[in-house]
Amino acid sequence: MEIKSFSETILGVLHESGIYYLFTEPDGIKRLIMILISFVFMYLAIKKKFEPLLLLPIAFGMLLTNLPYAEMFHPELFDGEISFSNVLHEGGLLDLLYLGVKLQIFPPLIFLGIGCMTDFGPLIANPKSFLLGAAAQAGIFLTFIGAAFFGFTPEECGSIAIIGGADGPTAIYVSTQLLSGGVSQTGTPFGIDVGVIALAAYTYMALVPVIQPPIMRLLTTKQERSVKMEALRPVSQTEKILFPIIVTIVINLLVPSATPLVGMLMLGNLFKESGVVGRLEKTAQNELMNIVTIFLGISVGATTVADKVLSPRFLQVLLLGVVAFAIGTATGLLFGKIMYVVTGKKVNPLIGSAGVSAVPMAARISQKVGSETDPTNFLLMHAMGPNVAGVIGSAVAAGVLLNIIG
Amino acid sequence: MDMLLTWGEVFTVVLTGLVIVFAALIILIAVVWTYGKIFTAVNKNKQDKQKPGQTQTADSPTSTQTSQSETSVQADTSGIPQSVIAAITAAVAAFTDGKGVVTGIAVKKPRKTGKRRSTEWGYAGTVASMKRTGW
Repeated sequence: MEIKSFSETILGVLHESGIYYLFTEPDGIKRLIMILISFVFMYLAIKKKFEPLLLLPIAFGMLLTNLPYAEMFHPELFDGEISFSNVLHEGGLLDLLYLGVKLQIFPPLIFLGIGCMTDFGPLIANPKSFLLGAAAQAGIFLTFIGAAFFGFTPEECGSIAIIGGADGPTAIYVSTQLLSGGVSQTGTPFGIDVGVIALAAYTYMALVPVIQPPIMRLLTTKQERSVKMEALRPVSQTEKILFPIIVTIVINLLVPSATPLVGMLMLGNLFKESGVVGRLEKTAQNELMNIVTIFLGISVGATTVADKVLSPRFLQVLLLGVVAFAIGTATGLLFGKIMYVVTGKKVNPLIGSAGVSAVPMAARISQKVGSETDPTNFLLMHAMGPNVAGVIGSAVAAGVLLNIIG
Repeated sequence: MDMLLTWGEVFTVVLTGLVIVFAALIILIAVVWTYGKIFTAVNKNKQDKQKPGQTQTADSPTSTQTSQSETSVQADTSGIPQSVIAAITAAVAAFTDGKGVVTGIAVKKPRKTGKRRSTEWGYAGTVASMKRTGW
């Protein structure tokens, strides 16, 4: 048995260290930059409170996956057809968690929790709000044009466009399906991945209070912003119970591919409104949702490898993401203005911007901008209608994209 | 920049997407509006049937006495701090332009009425609550 000398041992340890890897291997510097970027996102989540519930686990997943020799995530295991045996035998913790994303389990479970927390009463009381929820989805489809112009593949275009839905789980759901396999139907390898889409989606969702108000002030007059809307009619408990059942059936009959998201959203809402499964409701909106949020965030963060993030493609995704949000806000407002005219000035156009989903932030922005003009104007409940309609609308838009492109 | 999709394909996706999303949500409007109307009519019928009984209660002199100029509520105030009564009185006075007078407050067993909430107070409370909880 040969015992190495002190200097040889020290050199050996050094050569096998992460520090040596970072500064000598070809992708070492890229990993280092990714680690620094993960710090930036952690700062945004912790200090600036940018969607911290998901951005923090995503940022930490980004850190873990880019640490040298950590070997916690192996993207090659998910290229093409998944071999579950390989994932179980060769995969690490994050590979196993990522199965929940890859198999479309986590986003619908998040929707279950969201359903438990959503009150569809304002939407039932004023069903016309659905129109504003639909109008704001124009941001998704118009951004598709921009993505195609930048030369993205059809699957990438769909994944980028869905950022405009302002709904993180939906964006992850769609991009996971569309970007699976690593190669487009056209034979072109994908330049982006789920992590990139999730990062852009959650960053912009956090920036809704920054992006929306200038557009809202620009596209509406003071007279329009000061419109006080009539009180909503009371909605009976029976109506609230019937709503999730009816919506699930209607959406399934029209856009079956949207059923996993809408169905789980409505199941959660039925838990809430039925009032007979308090334990399930509590679990779905607290424990289950929290657990799934951790798993989803960390495993999506793990997919953010340097090759995908440190490329001009990521900057293009960021640009198109903000365009999608802006267009969605603008089309919602413009449709609100149409309703303002058609209803004889009974609808405040500001509630239109809430149609982009991002519950309940977008509705709060409508309330905030409205109260700037008239502090006694309470638009929140009126804006919640288009806001929750936007959730259903973006899920339907997701189903349509999956149907056309997937 | 080389486009991998033709403009025709792009516009097909955009048009199809917008048409389907609008169609789906318009159908939902029709469905929700229809059953909303049905439920409103059913509830109205129920209220109409209950009205005679309610009138009898309202006419009872022990409950609430209302005149055009003044709103007065008389009830048992035992166990309720004076500061609470003062705060409620101030709120009622503000809401009724000084015409309302609270002479007493009674605590009844809380129950869901299913009736419309007061709008402005309710909305203000909801906004404050959402801000406080960070929702």
